[in-house]
Amino acid sequence: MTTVRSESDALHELLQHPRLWRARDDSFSRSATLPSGFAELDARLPGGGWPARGLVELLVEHAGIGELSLVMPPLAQCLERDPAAWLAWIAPPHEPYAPALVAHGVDPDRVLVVRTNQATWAMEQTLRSSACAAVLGWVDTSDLRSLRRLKLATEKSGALSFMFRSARQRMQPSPAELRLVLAPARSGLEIELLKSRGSTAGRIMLPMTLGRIC
Amino acid sequence: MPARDPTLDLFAPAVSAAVEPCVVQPAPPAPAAARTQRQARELWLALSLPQLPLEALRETAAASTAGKPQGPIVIVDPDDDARTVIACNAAAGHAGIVPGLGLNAAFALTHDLDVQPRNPAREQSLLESLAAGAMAFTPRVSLLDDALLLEVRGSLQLFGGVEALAARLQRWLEGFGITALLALAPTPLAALWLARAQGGATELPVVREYTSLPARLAKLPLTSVRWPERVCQDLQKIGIATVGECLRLPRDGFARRFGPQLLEDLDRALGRLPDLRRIHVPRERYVEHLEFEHEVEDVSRLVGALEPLLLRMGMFLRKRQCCLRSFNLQLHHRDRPATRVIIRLVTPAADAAHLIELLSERLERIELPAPVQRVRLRSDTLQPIDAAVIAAAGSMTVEFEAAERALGPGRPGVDRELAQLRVSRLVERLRARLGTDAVHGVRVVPEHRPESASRATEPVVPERRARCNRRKSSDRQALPQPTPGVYSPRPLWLLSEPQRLLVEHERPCYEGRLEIEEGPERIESGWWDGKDVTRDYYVARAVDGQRLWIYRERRADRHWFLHGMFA
Repeated sequence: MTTVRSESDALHELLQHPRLWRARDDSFSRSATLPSGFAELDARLPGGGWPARGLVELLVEHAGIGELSLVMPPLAQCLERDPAAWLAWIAPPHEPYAPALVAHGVDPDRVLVVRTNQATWAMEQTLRSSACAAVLGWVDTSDLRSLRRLKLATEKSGALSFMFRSARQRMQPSPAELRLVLAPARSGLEIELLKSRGSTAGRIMLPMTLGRIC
Repeated sequence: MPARDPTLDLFAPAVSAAVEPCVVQPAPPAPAAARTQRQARELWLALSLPQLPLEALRETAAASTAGKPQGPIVIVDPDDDARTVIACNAAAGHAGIVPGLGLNAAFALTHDLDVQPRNPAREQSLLESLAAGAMAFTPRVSLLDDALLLEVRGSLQLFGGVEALAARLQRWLEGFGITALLALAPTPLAALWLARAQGGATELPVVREYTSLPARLAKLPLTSVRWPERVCQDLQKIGIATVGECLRLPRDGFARRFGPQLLEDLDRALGRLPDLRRIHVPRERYVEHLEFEHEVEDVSRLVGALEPLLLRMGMFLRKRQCCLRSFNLQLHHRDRPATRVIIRLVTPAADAAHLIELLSERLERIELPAPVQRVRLRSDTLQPIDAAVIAAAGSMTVEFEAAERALGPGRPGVDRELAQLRVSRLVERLRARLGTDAVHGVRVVPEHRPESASRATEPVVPERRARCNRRKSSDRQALPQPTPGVYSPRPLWLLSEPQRLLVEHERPCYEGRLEIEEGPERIESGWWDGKDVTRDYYVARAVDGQRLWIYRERRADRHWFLHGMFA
């Protein structure tokens, strides 16, 4: 009798493990989340918002369709929560514009910009140094090993990193736990959840009025 | 007994009936008669360097304008909001600009003015290198903000007299391109004032005895004393314009009105009070040589061989409780000039492991032109270490590790200073591999012209950060904001060069027709430095939904340009 009970205890404990997801159970995500500022997106993202740590992959057709405005709210919150945290931009396609950063709530004094074509190496170094609480990286590698190293570095440092890659690479496997494909649309931004923990894949149309900074 | 100098009498303490709150030192008891019989114990040669801010920037300027005649250049203090000119070069002087002029007035006098911010760090290092060179003439050299004081009494015989020594000094300074004004006097202050007042006179002012001092100082204008502005104005109001007239004022009245400090200055200049000056001691460096038995061709072997050197340097730094800002490595080859590798750090460091890492990153990037025979490691000047650097260097490793354990391994943003140190280390590591220009921060500049409103800057500068934190709220207000109720959107990406747009049927296109959504926002600015803009900015939407920031020139061509993207 006792053996049976301890076995069921052990089983119960196993079922509580955070990495185990049960389809009928919505409360699997124990990690904290950051609200994205858009209710439709929050409804579809696991945990009700962007993850507070981890690697998020955003696949875009080309730069400048609204991907940055999408991630500005969680970045601003990340920096605001911790007054000593830094934000790193690795190999951005253009220069970040400081007054717009201020308008989105990001303190330009804590922003580091790295211009290089060795984006993967630079991003890995940034994450491993634990110097930045949030990292934006424009990497163009398809090497799964490098991507896995980035994910490990992100997890070890406890940072939140957004990786921007080309939408053509959606078919390739990626270790990121959250993958979104962004496409521009006339009335806003179309977001497709390619991969996310727990949530079902699908498309969301966000009527984002970009440039509306309030 | 030689006749007493009449001016000394008037500078005697006046008897006053009322009880004064401030204590005034009476004139020093040594009678002037006894002093005249004694030769001056010290002779100070002052080198006043009026163009130091300009000359300090010359190294950076020379690289960019090699060979071209220099246009007018002015130096301003970046901290000073009043924007007055601190120094200007000859070309600017021809145009009528003098130090003390307002910047707007200077621009009114000449349009193509090059405005440079003052660089006190470079000035200080230039002064220190000059002091090190001046030690060839005398062991006692003292530094001021913009002058050098040399005590030369013991050197006069060796160099053949004052004039010969002064001529040698002038030649030596001219070799560096430094303009200096010289004067000799028994007290350092008197020599300094005489040097400053010289301004173009060819004869070297020489005063050898204390008794001649009052007479020689009498005619000096008060500008050479550099007392505070308000004091000089007050003195002017009561008709005092020279040092001699100052000396004739009653002592206690003078001290009461202007403070005892200025009275002490006059006393020290006349030799009545001792004037001790701190003698400059050049800071030590760490130098080590290493010779290889066999020539080294492989970079990884080189790195392995340099590790013990750097470890020894780390121990040297720890024993002296110093840290360094940069160090260089000279690799000597057999028949070629030596290769120089310079590593610069963002924040001073003493951690040998970190320095080894940086050096190995840098060495992996360079190609050895020839096998290396021997190596010289030399540190830059050392600075006393401060607590934050010690913590990061691991000298107090136990506390550092305990803090990390308590708060979670590798969690960023633990403590502000620790975070800044981590960022500095990261920046150094990235720069070692990618180059110095690859890493920068951003800064908001209160400017209406969009391309000037954001500037690349050094990522971690604690002093500037403190200033920025103090001014942060005012900076936010300084951002150009139109009237409330009308917002001015700014794009997250700004193109480095505005891109000209094609026009179809009077409408701009960028991969299809653009629809204007918002605008216009008129920006007209920058008439004062030639880069003026008159533009109407609009938010436009492209065919695929992307939002762009475009503008139309309001001048002759009225072209359309793409300036940014609301990413």
